[in-house]
Amino acid sequence: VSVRAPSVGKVVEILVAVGDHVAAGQEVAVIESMKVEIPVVAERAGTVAAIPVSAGETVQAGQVLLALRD
Amino acid sequence: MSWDPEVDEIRRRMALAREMGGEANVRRQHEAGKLTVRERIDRLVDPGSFHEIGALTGKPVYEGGTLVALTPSNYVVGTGRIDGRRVVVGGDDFTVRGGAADGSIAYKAGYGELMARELRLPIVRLVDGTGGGGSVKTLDEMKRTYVPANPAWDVVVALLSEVPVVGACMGSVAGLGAARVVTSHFSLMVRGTSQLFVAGPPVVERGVGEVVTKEELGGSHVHARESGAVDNEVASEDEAFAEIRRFLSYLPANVWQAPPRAAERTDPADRREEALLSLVPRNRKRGYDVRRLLALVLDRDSFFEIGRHYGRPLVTGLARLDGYPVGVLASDPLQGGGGLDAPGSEKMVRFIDLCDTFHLPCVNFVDQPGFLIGTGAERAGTIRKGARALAAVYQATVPWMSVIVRRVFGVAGAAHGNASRLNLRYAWPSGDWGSLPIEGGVQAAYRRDIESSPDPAARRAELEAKLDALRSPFRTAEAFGIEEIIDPRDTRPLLCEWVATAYELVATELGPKRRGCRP
Repeated sequence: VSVRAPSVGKVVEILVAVGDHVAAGQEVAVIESMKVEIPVVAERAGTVAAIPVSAGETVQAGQVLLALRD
Repeated sequence: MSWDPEVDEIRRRMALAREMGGEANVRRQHEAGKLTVRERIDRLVDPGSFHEIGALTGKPVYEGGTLVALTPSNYVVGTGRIDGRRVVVGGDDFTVRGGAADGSIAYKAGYGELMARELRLPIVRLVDGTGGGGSVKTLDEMKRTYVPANPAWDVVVALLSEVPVVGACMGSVAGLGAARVVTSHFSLMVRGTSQLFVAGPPVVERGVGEVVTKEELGGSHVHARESGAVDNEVASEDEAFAEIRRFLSYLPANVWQAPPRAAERTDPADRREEALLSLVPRNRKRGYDVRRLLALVLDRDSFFEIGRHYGRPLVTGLARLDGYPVGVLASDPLQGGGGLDAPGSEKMVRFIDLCDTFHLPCVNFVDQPGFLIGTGAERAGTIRKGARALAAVYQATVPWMSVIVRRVFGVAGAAHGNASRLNLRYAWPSGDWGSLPIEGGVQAAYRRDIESSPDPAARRAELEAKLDALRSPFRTAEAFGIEEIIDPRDTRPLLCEWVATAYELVATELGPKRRGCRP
């Protein structure tokens, strides 16, 4: 299970750290796309297993921002 | 001597038709979580309103001149009423030969299509099978093959420019059946119990070597969320019937009529919502909930969204203003900033064509940063797909109103309305526009100036600040570059005033459009 970038853009901020538990619907990152900051929410609950991107990085739509495990 | 025996025979035969493919097949249909075609029609139309045509059609078994069994044709068709308005409805009977062509007789489906065209009635197709398409069993029966022709296709295509067409995918639907679902103005799928594809898993495995389940190949998540082949996804068959009824409630029976105003108007035209004053954040980087904006402005609970999960930077749907049906377009700033992408452009073309065909005045809530940019967007052909959307705006002749909520940038922004027409619009004070955004645009236009400066970053900031001071929408209004800046709370009263005028105009422009409608 992973949280993916909803659109192309730049990672503004990752709001959680590896090991954190996230709830379904929780805002976990912010992406800036077409000059608007877009909150990214986790669709389901889980524990953050990995964060393969960092703030300032450019991401494509669908790219994994967070890997979650149950 | 009366005709009583024959009348009894009609009743007996109609009772046989209602048995469909037999008890065992009906049970199997129910166990698969699906209703039979007759149950579907009964739930879709007003109670008792279904008038079937061709109930006597079937493959008979005679013993000594007496009919002992009749396998009905696997297409059930007739007329019924939806909210009192007559429609043609037809559906495949999956319990007879899985709805495939070899179970059909004399192409009843084509009769339904022709009926919709000549009586100028909306048509609802409940597709559950191949919808008249081929099966290799036909080959075995005919002892010959044939060059394929899509039956009644001239009518199927012509209908799109004349009457509302709904395609409901109610089971595993392949080939011609799939084409019949999507050759429509509004299509839907039922999550989990319906799949749609050009060819199903066995054919796919033989043809391209992919081993997939039917759900992976053509489930509703594929078509309502990724491919855009189907507009809406629903959780149950009953929800499907509710959506079909709702969709048709906004539309006229045909293009020679105006869309029907709601019988009751429960929402005051002069409702002014305080929340609109602070809905758009002052910080330009912050988005907002565009569906909340729509709910505050349009008639309460009247917004019916079409294609929510596809082309998401653009929100499209039907709604009412003071009871009058309208088409609504809006950008969603929380989806890629609202930048129009290739799927969004495609969605826009279909939606505008729908509104234009059926004379639905359009309201466009504009917050358009421009076409989506970057390598992904270029490779998706955004510019040509976007240019089609622009062409749709310019070909439309329905009354059109734009409410400029925030940004209008670039070519996509410029296409918020047809600038060669009157191009009615109201701008909110949050309006922010230009051919290019200042950020980024400064770097392009003043490159040499910035690069030759001892402190390029400071010089860029200085230029940005200087241009930013000219950004106020009031400066544009001074030059009549925007006709009106309004209090956002006045949006609904102003739109309700406009829509009444728009409908007076619609009444003078009924009939088919020169531009035909395509799926």
